[in-house]
Amino acid sequence: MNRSDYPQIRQASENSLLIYLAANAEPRVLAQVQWLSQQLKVQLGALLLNIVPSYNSILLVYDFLKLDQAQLELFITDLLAQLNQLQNQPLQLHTGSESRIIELPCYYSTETGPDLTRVAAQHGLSVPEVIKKHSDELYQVYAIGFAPGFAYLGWVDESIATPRLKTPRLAVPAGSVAIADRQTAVYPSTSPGGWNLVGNCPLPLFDLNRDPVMPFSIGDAVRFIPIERSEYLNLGGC
Amino acid sequence: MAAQSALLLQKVNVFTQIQDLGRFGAASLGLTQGGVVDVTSARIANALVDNDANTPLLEIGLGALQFRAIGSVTVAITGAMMPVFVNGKPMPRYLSFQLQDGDQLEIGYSKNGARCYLAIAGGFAQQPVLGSVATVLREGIGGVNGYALQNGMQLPVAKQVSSFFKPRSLEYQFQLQPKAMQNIPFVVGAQQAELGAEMLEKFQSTIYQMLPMSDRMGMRLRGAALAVASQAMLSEGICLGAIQLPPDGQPIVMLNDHQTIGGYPKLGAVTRLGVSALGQCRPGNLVRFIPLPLAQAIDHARRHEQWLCTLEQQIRGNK
Repeated sequence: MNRSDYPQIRQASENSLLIYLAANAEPRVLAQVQWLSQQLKVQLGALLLNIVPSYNSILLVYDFLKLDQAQLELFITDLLAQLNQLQNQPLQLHTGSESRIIELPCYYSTETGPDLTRVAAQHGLSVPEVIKKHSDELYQVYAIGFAPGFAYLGWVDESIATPRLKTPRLAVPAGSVAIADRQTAVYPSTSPGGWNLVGNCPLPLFDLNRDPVMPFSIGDAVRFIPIERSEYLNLGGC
Repeated sequence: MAAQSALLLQKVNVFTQIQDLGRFGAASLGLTQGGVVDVTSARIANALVDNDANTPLLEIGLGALQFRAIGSVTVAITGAMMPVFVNGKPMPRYLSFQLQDGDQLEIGYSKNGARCYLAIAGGFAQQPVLGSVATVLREGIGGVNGYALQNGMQLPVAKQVSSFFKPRSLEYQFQLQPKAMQNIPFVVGAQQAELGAEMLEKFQSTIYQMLPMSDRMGMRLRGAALAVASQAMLSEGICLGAIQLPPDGQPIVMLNDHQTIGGYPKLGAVTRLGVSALGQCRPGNLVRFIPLPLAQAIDHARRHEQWLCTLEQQIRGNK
């Protein structure tokens, strides 16, 4: 499929649509996904039952007993036209989407990252080199899913990209910072998982008693700040 | 007598959970919608005890449960054909009845259908999480602090209702009649174009058998495999009813606790009414998927909603 085929609106079910903004995920596309999601949320309000932005697409679940699908598609087409105009003024699109940089402290160690030395050895790097490469990169939140608050961050430097474990762990500790191929993430709560663990972020990333529940949303940028063991413990790590 | 009435769970199973119509607006945080699988049966149960449609109730899987009334409570049971006994005597489903303090309520194994709904007048008292009490065990959210129900737990009633309660009932013709062979409507969509007309044709002409590993996340099926050429796909939002094709080509239909995003291609999605019907299938039951044009699916859904609203009003008025 070539580029001119985008954006696309496709039926996903009787009350949901998938909007594809491009074939691939890249920061420019992500900014569009973020902007469009925001517009849809604000303008559709309670008619929108759920919205799931992810990489290059948005799933829109709506109240089809109250909202006519043809009208909705017209409305989306109109927003897409506005988006197209904004794209010629990248600055506006960017400020409109309120992208933020969130800094997450990370204690990289064999204690908190049982796969750290293996990842280094696999790539012929030293542990400090892996830490530097992982923490130098500015990541973007491309998707949130898998588990509550689990954010898919892209992309780790090619030189430390590491495939998932053949046998997933039954319990990955909450806060674990992990790599899978060119993606990285923090496990918000203890859960099974097959990603390579390289460190731990002691901050809570999903807390229903906080507002907002998560520190970041799709399109935001994330950077990991290496911390020492003492600071990790001070911040509540264990 | 206790000031607040309750149901004591003497014998409960992991397929039994507190649910409502679901948690919406939190999918972007990675939270699934949860909620009752068979909406029609659940809403009728709540109407029979004069509750609002979204009142917390029990979704009961499998059967073989025992309860004891603490104080006086009024309950109604709908959905799957699980035999009901009060103090050892049979009691019809689709009927609201009062239990006095100490009365024993038993629900046997299902003879037909997979899920029944137990509504209690006043509703079960649970704290909503992000607008819903729907239990999602995988997320540890909803119900009783996100935990599975345990033997010995008490589920208190939220609002004490008048002890004088005239029973309401629903005629047999309107009750759920699960069939061993179900036609399940779906809407074509998502990656169907890439998957091709031939695959769609094969999907529609195959009779699938429901597999035992099905759960509230997904209905697993076995039939003619739909071989999908492996192609990397960026993960995208998944909706209720989505018909996913994993690499083994055996479709999985996403039910209420489905993951919010995923990277398997989809042929489309079973309609909401189809999800309710699928949710009453048991392992070994057969299903065939019938494509519906979108306009027709919406029309069916609107007419069903009108029918259900009228039925709810009639039940409530039927004192």
